[in-house]
Amino acid sequence: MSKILVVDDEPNIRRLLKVALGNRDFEVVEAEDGEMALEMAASEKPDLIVLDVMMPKLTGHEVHDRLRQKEATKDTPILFLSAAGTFEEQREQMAADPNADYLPKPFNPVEVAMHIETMLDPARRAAFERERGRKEAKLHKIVEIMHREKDL
Amino acid sequence: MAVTAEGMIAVTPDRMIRVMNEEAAEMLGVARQDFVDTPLESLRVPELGQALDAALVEGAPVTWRFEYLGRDFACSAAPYLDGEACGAVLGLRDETEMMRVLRRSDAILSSAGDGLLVFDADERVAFVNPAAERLLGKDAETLIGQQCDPLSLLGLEPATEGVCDTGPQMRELRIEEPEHRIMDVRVDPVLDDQGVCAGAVVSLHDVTAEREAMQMKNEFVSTVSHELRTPLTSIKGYIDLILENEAGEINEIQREFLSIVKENSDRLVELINDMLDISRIESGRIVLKIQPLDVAERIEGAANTFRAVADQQGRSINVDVPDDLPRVAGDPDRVGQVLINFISNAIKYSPAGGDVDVSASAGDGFARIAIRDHGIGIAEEDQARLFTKFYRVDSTLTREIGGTGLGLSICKSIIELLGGQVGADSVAGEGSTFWFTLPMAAPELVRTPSLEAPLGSPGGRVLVVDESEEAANLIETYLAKRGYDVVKAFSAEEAWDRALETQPRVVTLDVMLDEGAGFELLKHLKADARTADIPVVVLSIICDEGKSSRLGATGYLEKPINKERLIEIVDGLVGSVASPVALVVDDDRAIVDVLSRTLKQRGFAVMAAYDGKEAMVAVQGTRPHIILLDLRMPVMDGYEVLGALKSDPETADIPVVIMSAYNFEADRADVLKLADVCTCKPFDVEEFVTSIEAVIHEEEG
Repeated sequence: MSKILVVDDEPNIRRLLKVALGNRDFEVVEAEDGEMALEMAASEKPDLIVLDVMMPKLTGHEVHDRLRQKEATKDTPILFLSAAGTFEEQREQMAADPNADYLPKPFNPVEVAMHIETMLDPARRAAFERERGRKEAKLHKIVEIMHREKDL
Repeated sequence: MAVTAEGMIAVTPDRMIRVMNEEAAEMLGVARQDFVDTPLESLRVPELGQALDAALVEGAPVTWRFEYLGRDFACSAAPYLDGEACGAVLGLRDETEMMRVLRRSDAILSSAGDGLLVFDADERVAFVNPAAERLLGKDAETLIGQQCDPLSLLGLEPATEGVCDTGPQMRELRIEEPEHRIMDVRVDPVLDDQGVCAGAVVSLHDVTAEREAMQMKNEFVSTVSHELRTPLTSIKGYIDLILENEAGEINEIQREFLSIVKENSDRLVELINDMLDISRIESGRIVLKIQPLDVAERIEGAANTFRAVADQQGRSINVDVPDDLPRVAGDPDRVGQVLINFISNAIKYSPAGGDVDVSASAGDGFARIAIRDHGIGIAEEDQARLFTKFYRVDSTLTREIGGTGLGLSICKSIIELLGGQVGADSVAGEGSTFWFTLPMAAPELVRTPSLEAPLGSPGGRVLVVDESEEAANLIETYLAKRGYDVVKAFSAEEAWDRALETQPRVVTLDVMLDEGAGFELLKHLKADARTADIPVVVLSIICDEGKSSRLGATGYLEKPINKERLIEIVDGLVGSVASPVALVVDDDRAIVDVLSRTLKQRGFAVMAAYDGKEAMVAVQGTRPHIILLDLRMPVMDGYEVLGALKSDPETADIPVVIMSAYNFEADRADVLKLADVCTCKPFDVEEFVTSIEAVIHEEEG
């Protein structure tokens, strides 16, 4: 059973996600601000973190940056939910981190739950890794040939 | 006697009045004969003596201005040699009228709220009004006489030509000293009555308060939109949970009522998004990514969004775009937004079953895209105001249809920002045509090189999964003609068996297999190691590209199937999966053609770029296995491309072969060291390709 850490300062929104995720056999733990989120990310070791962007004290982006600096959470998938700005703006901010994704508020909680399922799907992640490995091997061989030609 | 006439008094070296004309006597209010051959001082106008002394000291003419009997005079004293000593001729002019005019204009300029600086023909500051002193925090004295370009004086980038040649220039000036101010600066030429350049006048208009108010408004809109979205997240979220039966079963009446709540909260969300769009456009914070666009592709994309709805309603969306329509310059997302808005309106305002016609035409540097409905039309008095904010044609129909009243205003702003125009033509009762224009793409805009499959039929097996036999047969016809070996499956189970048994190179999948089995099958294919590597193209009448790609689909195509797009996607997938991808970069198209053809014959998928910029765009789209790079190219040369590729960890390990017709430049040797191979043109393509083929055989073996 995957464990999801839901971080949002609105209790209603945390409950919303807890219901949708709970119905899909996720274990949900909650944090109501950024500092609490950092503590729980360390103690609960969630498989994925749902992170509100606009929060008092620490913003979602600040929490993200601090999580990435720690060895234990440097690759943990993060799904941002934000009520500010446009989809394009947010997506661009996320482009640098392959393990982060973004959905706008308001959202359909069932869709968020399905999105989380695909983010955590081990088969999909494995296929992605395999494909990358295959391409690297092929490239390596081409480079080898190129060097051989250069030496001749 | 004319007032403007010149008075004259000649004074001897011993300060005696030798000559005085009638004009001078009149100006000074004396009888001429009483003063000739009397001392100058007897006139009792001390300023005349002062002018005389100044001229004698200077030994050159001087002008002395003074007031006498309530009038303004100018006395110009010119010395002359009379024997051993100097006398002088005093010219006297009544300048009362002129000074009155000057004082008046000075008063006007000084009372003006805007700052004003006047420059003479030699770019010397001649006048500064108090408002300018206050705005700039500088005294007129320190400014007057400075010789400088008007814009440079303010610390702005000077214009390339004088203002008399360019006409008015407008800039924005931001200063922090003596306090934070934003000013609109305007420089206008001053032309004399002959039309000759006599200088320039600079006006400074303080807009600090307006800009701050505008910024506050935008911050307000952005804050409010966040504050509104937060409660809406709870409202919509819990309704969604109930409607999706996540909180247990509900009855039909409850479902109907909650659907109404949901629809209306969706409208609120739409309104907030529109408001943000408007605020972003008004504050100039909208970011446009302008690139060459294929109009037909954009129209197809937007039309497809509505095809399913239109089919249900028994209407069709007819698209008519000439094949040879040149590409336009625009932001793909924003142009799509405008098209979707116009088409959606056309559908809303057409009677049941009414078709919507979308057409495009070219002319005069612009492409014109028109969307025609067959609805009730728009009365003439409403047409002009259609594109203004919150304007809604008042009718029962518009009240039923809803909407925010902001859409058309946003479209107009977007198209105008892109350099085009929008408009509507309509005859009441006969439908309306909404149109917009976009400028044709300039040749310097960067082209995105497309991936071309190896020559000859790419071949290989394609598994076509579709519930409908008719649809499957149609796809089979398309693909078989292209040389593919097609295997068909009509259910998820059958498709799974066929995929394992025949190991196709590509799967096309209609996700509308019975009850969502399509997405399940896609997930299965991607999860199983035996099939995970087979690319899947999703075909669907519903628009769910996002879900498909999340589940691992490589391609996406809406139904009804566009044959060309289908072939293009399948070819590209077979090509890029089965063959190594080579990127050829050279501004000489002949060389690119020869190389591409040879490479494609030998089984490479090829991307062709004609300059460095295109090459960088191509690499971002599809990672090539090898890059063949020319050095001397326009826009961005090979050295720059090489440097950029090798300094980016994403692309640093792609082997680069340098092709050059020239000897390599010694001073760029450090850059060239980054390349994997350097070859002088003409080099042996065959030999090179052969060595790459060895790699392919090795892998297949």
